[in-house]
Amino acid sequence: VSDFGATYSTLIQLILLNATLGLSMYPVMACGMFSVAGPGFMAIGAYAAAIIALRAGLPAPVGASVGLAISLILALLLARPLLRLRSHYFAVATIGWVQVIYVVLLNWTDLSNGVLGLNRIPVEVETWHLVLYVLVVAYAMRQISRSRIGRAFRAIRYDERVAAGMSINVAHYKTLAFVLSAVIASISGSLFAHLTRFIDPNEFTFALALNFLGFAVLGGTAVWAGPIVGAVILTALPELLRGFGEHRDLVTGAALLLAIVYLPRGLVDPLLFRHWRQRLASRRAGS
Amino acid sequence: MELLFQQAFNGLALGAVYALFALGFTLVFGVLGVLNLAHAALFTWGSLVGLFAVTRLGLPILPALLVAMLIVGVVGIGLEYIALRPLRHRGTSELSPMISTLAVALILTSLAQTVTDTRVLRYPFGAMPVANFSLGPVVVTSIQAMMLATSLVLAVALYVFLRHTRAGRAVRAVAFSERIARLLGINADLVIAQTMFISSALGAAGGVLIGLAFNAVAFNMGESFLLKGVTVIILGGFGSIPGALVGGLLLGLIETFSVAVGGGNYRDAIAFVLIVLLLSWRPKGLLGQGEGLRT
Repeated sequence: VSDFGATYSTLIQLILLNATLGLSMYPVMACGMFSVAGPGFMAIGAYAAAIIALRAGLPAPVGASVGLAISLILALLLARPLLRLRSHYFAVATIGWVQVIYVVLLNWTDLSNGVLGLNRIPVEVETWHLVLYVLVVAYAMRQISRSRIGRAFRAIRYDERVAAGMSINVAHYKTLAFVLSAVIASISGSLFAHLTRFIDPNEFTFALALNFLGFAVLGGTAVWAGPIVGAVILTALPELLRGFGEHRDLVTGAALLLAIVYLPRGLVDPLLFRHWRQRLASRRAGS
Repeated sequence: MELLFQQAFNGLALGAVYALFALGFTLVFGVLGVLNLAHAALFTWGSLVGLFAVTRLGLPILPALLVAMLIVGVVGIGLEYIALRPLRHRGTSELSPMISTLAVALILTSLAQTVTDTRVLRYPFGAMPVANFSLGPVVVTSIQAMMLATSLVLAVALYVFLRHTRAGRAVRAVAFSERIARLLGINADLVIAQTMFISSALGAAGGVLIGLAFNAVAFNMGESFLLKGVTVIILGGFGSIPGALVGGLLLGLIETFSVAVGGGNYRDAIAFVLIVLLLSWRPKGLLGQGEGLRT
């Protein structure tokens, strides 16, 4: 068992981290918002943690909290103008946000060390931290999806105008979803920085946003567990299919395409389960 | 002063290709209401096919351009069959096609990476005759002349097609309403496949021209173009063809001058700050009025 752990611990840590990134897509997707802003907030979390650990020598939770605070404020500030935009324009503006953060990190060399990245970040995150974080976020998402907030999210996703007509404050809930997503991504970023020792701006580009999206779409966002399943599959699959290891994007792309065309509600779909259960039951009754 | 003219001209030549790229992008949006996020990957493949046509088949540059447009156009039709039609017939939300085209973009880019072996490829010397003309105070290279001429010819051809042919009228009818077009006996699926062909061919032409202009063809060359194309159609308004032309030229000028004035470091960020400001002020873009295709 320890052998297995040693061989696959990096992969397992990556899967856990990606599961939280997939979960960060849950609130916005549950609201029907096409947001790829995640990598921007993840970058803020990662750089805040790294800079505070390297320059001030403070422990990881301090850096993570500072990153969290910055992400929270920026998400609130961004939400106001962005949420006025309709679907496509909103999607594009979030792509722009990721690009702005990337360019700032690349060029503000005094702060971020530019393209060279930040090295020798103390490794303070262990696997059980990640497990705990996944459990906490998953539990929070489960509680949210079963609460008034989750119902409001689904109503907005189904039809914004009808939701507004039922006196759901659409702007309020969309802001909440956006901020929640930003906060989760930011903490994941801080964990990432203290896990890998090294970060550079190229980790946090639009390409990463596609992975976020892949987790959420493949797993589905009908249920909170969906993005976790998506993250596990899309992270493990290229590693297991050894020959495809270097063609990660090909695997991700193909899985994403198949999912959106054939399983539009994702792999974890309560309707699909019910359908199968009924078919099984009827077959048993028939025989 | 001469420098100013020269910079303005360089900006226009680059902007003409941006406009060409954005034309195909905006055409699909106007007809289908879909932001085709694979457009940049098709652009990259245009560049690749053009290069291979020159190096492997030994074609001159103009036939290579046509070959690239043809082949990538067919790939575009494939994209419609695999990634767009099933979703359209099921009647999903407008976000699903964005995700499916993104998936196609990932696949195409990954294949391009395999084909190029992650290297930057170059056109052989003499693929494009090198010659400079003087036009008043401005020096025009042969590549710039080709960029401007190709973009102009294709833009005019697209305009004439949409305005003055029967097939073009069908395209505009589908853009107005797919449902009504079907009721009028128009084969909307056929029209959309044609639109994808045209759009992808325009993107491929842009790819060949940019590959020539910078003499570099790489698997990830499309990535920055996706963002530029989006910038252009936001500047001009989604689905607006004149808007794409104006927006493309404008972006080319802004980029060239911002590099000349302040260095190129924050160029992409400035473009996006502009977008956010513009969208807050005019949510439909500079020339935008509403949804739908406008010629």
